[in-house]
Amino acid sequence: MKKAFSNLIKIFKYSFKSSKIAIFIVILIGLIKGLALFLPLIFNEQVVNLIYNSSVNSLGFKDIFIIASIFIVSIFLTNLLYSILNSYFNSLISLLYGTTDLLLAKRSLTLDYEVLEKEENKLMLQKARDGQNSSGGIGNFLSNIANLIQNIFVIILGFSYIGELFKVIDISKIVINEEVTSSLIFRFTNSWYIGLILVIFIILALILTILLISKMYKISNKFFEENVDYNHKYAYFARIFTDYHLGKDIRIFNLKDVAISRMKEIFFKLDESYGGLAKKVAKNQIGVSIISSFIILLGYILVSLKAYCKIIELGSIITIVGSITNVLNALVSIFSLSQDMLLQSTYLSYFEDYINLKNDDDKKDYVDISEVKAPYVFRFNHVSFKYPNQNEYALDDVSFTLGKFNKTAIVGKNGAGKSTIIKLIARFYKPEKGEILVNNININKFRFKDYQTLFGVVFQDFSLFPLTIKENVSGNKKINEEEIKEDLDKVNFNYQKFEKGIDTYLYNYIEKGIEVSGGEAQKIAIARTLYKDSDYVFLDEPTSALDPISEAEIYSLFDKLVTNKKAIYISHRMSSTKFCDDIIVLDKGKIIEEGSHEELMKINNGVYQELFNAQAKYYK
Amino acid sequence: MEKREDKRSNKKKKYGFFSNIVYSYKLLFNTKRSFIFLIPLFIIFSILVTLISTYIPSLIVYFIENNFNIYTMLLLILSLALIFIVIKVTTDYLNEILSMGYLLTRATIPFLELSRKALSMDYELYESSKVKDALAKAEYGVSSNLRGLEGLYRKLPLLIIAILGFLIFGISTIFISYYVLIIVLVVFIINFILIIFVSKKHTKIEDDISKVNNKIRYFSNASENEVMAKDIRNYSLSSKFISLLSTYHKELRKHLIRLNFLWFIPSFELTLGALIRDLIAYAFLIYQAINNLISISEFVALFSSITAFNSYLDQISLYLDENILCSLEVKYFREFFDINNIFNHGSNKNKKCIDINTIKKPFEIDIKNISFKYEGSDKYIFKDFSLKINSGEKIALVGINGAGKTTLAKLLTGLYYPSEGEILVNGVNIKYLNIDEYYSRVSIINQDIYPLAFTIKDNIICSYPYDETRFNKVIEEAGIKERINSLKDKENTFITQNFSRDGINLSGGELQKMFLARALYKTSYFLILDEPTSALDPIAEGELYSKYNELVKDKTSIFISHRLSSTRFCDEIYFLENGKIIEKGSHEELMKQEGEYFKMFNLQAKYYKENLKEDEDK
Repeated sequence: MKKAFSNLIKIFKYSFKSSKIAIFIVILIGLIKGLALFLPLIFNEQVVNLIYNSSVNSLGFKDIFIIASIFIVSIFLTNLLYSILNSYFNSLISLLYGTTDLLLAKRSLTLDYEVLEKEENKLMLQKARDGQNSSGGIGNFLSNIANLIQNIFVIILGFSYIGELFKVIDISKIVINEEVTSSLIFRFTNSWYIGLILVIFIILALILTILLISKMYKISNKFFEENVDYNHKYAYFARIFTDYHLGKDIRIFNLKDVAISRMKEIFFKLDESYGGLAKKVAKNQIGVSIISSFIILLGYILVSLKAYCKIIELGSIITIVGSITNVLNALVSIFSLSQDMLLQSTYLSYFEDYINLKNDDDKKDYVDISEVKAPYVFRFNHVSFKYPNQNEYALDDVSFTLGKFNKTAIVGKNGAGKSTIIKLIARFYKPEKGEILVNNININKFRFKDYQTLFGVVFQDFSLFPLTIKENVSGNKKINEEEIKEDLDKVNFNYQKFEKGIDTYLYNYIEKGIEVSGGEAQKIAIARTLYKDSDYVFLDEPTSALDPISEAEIYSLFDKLVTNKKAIYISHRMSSTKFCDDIIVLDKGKIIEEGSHEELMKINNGVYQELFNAQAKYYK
Repeated sequence: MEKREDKRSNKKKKYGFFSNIVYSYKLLFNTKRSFIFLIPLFIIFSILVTLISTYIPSLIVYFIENNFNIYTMLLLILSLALIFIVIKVTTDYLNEILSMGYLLTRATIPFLELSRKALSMDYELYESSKVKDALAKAEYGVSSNLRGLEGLYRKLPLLIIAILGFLIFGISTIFISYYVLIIVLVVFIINFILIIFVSKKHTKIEDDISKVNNKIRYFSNASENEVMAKDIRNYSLSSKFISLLSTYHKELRKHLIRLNFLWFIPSFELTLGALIRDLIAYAFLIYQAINNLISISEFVALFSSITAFNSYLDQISLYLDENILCSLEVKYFREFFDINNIFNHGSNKNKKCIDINTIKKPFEIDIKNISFKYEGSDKYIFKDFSLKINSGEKIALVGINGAGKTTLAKLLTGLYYPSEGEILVNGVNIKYLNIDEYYSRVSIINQDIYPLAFTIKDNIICSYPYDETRFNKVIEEAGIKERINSLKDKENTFITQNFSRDGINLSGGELQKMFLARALYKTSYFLILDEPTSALDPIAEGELYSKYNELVKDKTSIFISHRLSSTRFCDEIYFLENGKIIEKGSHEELMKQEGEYFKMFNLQAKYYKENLKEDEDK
């Protein structure tokens, strides 16, 4: 519960920060909605009293109608004000929704890769997103606050009318026969404690409601954890049948049955947990309902007695009965609202936690990137690294230098640690032990963004984006159409076959665009690296999807390219690594051989020789 | 193709508002029988609650006005209050039970049905942009608490309550004056017209909104996608994405504000109408009361009626609109089930169907004059293409990117159907086979590898019975046994962390090996391997080659690869270019021809020739 309160406070603060007007509007809406419930009652009461006493006060139709009109017009104005405010509030909600979505995306985009990729952070983000979807996010939270204010205001207003029941009249001043005034019922009715009984009941109901809320919170909290987990799985199931990439295997291997039986398992559990929770909530809801119903019972009797004995005016029956109904509804609403809000605040606290995630080196004193003067080299100094959830080291006490030669290849069997080297150099992960230096400065000392300018990477699983071809190639660099075309020409990518040339969009997400084959995509990705124009180029399996003709094209292209750049290849195609000046052979996270092709081929039973011959024998 | 689609759209049934309601509630009552009674009970009780609390004051006034005995009065009020309590408590309880029931119904059976339908749809249909859109819309029907099916479950009872309440309290307003009724009707009709007008505009704006939302969704997802994260960081794309996202959000907000303004119009009309109506109604009421034409208790009762009536009127226009939107989403959901498969799935008894078991194994595949092009493209991938693969034959398919190799694999596995010509399996047209049975007898390793987030075992054995010996044999053959056994949970380890916190991510090479194991585990008579070694290291690649003959024993097989070394152990090599076979023969024969294959082979081979560098130096 304590945590829930601190969450609530966090979210309040956050709402304040995002929009000061929002809070003002929320309070105003709450008050107006509360008032709107009482205005007709008061109106009704006043008019009934006026008519009832019309003969005494000698008021005519005109007088009463004018008073009534004032009420009707003020009710109209209240409703109008409410719909204007509400309309404005809805716009505010969409603004807040946009802001929160943007904040999440912004945080994701600026987080270190290692922090972004951490399982616990991914789950946190998932929960934050679930919160947006399943509980409506900050906007819904605010409208719940408005409802809460409304209900609290209703209880306060209601009490002030119920207070009418405390009214006691001086027997000597009224004209009712003695028989009535001396009766027990009259004396009981005409006392202040009769009202007190009702108020005590209402306060008891309030206390009980609060107790039940805190009890329910415990139950829901446990359920909430399950719920987050369940939403995660539900989303994956939806992916199974909407992602057409999965579709081929699903059909041929009849994976439909596997998927559906997994869904059924999860749904069965869901049925248990949701169903169980529903019953618990319903039971507690009954608790609140029953207690509050006794208030109704008592209230109705007291009101009729007081009115019967003419202690209160006829018109007051309307306001008091109406107030009792309103107060009770408010109590039940507060109960369910609090449930929602506590759940929402938990969800929203994930959001808050996520956008406050810190990169490891957010506050360090950076070394200026201009300290790194070309030609620079990357040096691994006793570097060890292990992926999360894995027992074995991907790299184990590795030391070497990249950049001594123009072309370097890194080869090895599957799982030897080749791609890990690139990920460490790119600072996507930090070494567990040892350090990586560029010209003797630890790479972590530079600002991440500056550091990335030192090299371009063509990743094994590179991504292109649904932007124009020219935007894809330029990255965040200034667009120079001539240069972009030049680079695309270099990789033999024929952009002229499209009507809009390099202004053609890729894919169909943003604008109607074109689908490119794996080979074409690879060419664009390489052009992007060329346009980036860094001194180093890393290529992780750059030709895996290409046919031999295109492959040969790319190789010859890179031969031309490395005249003023340094290239690092990772490839299973030994043909592409053969011409490198330096070949580093990895095996099980360690460097076991290094040298030129000729040197390595001379090592009898060496790993390089084995790898090379394994492929070469088919071409003899 | 086009003709078929026309037929389909002609047949398309129209699902109206009421038909959608019947459909949704049938579905609900099938799972929750008791709801047939509970929902009407909830509706009746809800109205009773309002009725009693509205008329209690006038009743008390009535008792006092007519000088009832105090004890009679107390007794009557006490009993009424007790009834009220029972009804109110029941209503609150029902509300909780019902809403959980709605959620459970929506999230389970319709969701399962939708997955089943989507997953058993012909792949070619499933992949088409039309069906993709239809599926995305259909998913709305089951994906949210407030929309589609669940939205209709939640909101229809509320609409009915509002309509009944409107009628009940409306009748009493007739007692005041017919003018009031006329004004009410006029205001309501104008409101209804306005709502229809606004709804139309709404759907138009909604289209714009969904377009912007798609963009936002794409970039939001991209911002947190691990694979994209690498390129985003190395090419410093963060700021570009953030500025794009904020532009889209601004655009979205503009649309939403327009929507808000739009819906303000009918709500303003209603408020204004209420002002005129109330002025007239109360004028009559006060006039009658002051001239003693009605009693005070009647006055109070009528007065309260107007208040209740007003609030129900507001609710009608609110819930009517929401129900219409939800019903529209249910319509999309239902329409998805009307998409008919074109292949024979054995369910249609009118179609001629041949038992797969009567066909000789391994399969002989005969492709006869087929033509094929992708949806929305004018370019034929195949035009009048023929190829025959004998039973048990091992063929290799080579060619440059875009030659049609992968498309052919899809045609042969029955994922696509040719627009002309026929594919015969031992002389039987695939069309006459139950395609699901055919799937159960063919096996493939696709070029693109997408594992499901279940266990390794699930991914290998799929839905076929578990046979431990066979399982161990195939993981050994695929070269992944060692890796699986090094894991804590062995073959029961989950892939990715979607379903288990201890799940692991396999590398590209490991996944490829796992998929090889899957292809081998299944009993099949026809195997296609599409670039099965692209992520394997040379040693693993070599091992696969050396075992290949053993692996495809008793099967007809196609090996598709850019690595021409792989073609050596195949009986026949086909060189594909632009959807045509331009060369065929054994490796030796093709090398002698000195054609395209020869050129391509040499291009690859030259790098492996020993002492090449020395040659060049000379």
